Amino acid sequence: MTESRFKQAMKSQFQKVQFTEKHREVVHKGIQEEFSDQVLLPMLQTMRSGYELTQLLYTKNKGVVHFNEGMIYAMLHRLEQQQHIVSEWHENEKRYVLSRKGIKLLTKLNKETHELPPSIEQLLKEARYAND
Amino acid sequence: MEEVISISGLSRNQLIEELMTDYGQEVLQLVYTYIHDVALAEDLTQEIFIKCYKALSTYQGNASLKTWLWRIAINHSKDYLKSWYKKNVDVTETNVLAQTLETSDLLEQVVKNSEDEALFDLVMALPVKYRELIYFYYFEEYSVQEIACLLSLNKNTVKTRLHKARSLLQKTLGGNPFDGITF
Repeated sequence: MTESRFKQAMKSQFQKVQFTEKHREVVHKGIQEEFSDQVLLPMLQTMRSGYELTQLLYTKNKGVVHFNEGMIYAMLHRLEQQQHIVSEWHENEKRYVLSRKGIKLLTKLNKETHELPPSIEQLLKEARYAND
Repeated sequence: MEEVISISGLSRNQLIEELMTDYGQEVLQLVYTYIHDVALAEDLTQEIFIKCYKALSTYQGNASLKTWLWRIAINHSKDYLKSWYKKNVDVTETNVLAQTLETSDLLEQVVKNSEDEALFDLVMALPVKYRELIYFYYFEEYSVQEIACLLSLNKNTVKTRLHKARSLLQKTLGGNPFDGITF
């Protein structure tokens, strides 16, 4: 048996797994949730409308964030359903702000990100596996 | 694995899209090598890309993006294996798999199954530390140096494990599946 024979065998077996559109969709959903936790929550320490958020994201992070307005509203809706934010109407405009629950979550998230710099965390992880 | 992609100016969102297009299938195969279960491998692969999105803000650009992605995928798979074994298996993994390799049932199955599947199953039956080396060295055709870097191992450790992995396979197959190939 030669190497190419081996590769061929592996390849034929790997056909059992296929990365498809279905998987991409799940990732998209996960990313949106991450985005609303990482970016939207901190911005909602101040009361803002969906339009204001979109504008802020667009001007501040041009090129870094590529979510359209519709997606922002979908995320706001989800955050509201989870009771992380509350809304009220101001002159025909719905405005959102963190709820108590949202403040708690944000504090928790901030703590997590600041606990260990990722580089050290990574080093520790690698050291752990190096001993296997 | 030399390419270095600058992420400045590129949206994280867009970058994940590109990573999924370029490497989705490869990551899934890599995860499947660690976790021999289609549905689970799919779930873990999705989690890996979401994890990447989270981690992109802290990506330093000191490793190539592909290496960085591979490390996340490898660590995520191994973390899963660890928690799984902790929960479900009392003996160490090496013992379980060593037993599997010695079981004559498996050999009988090898005869029954198609040759491809049999070989694949044999590789899958190797302990993780040998299995991953077979995958990277013989399937992805990475150099010993590249593997050492990717897995944070010493070069000599990689060589020793490759040697051991081959002799394990050789013992079960009654022949060397990688005739004439050395490193």
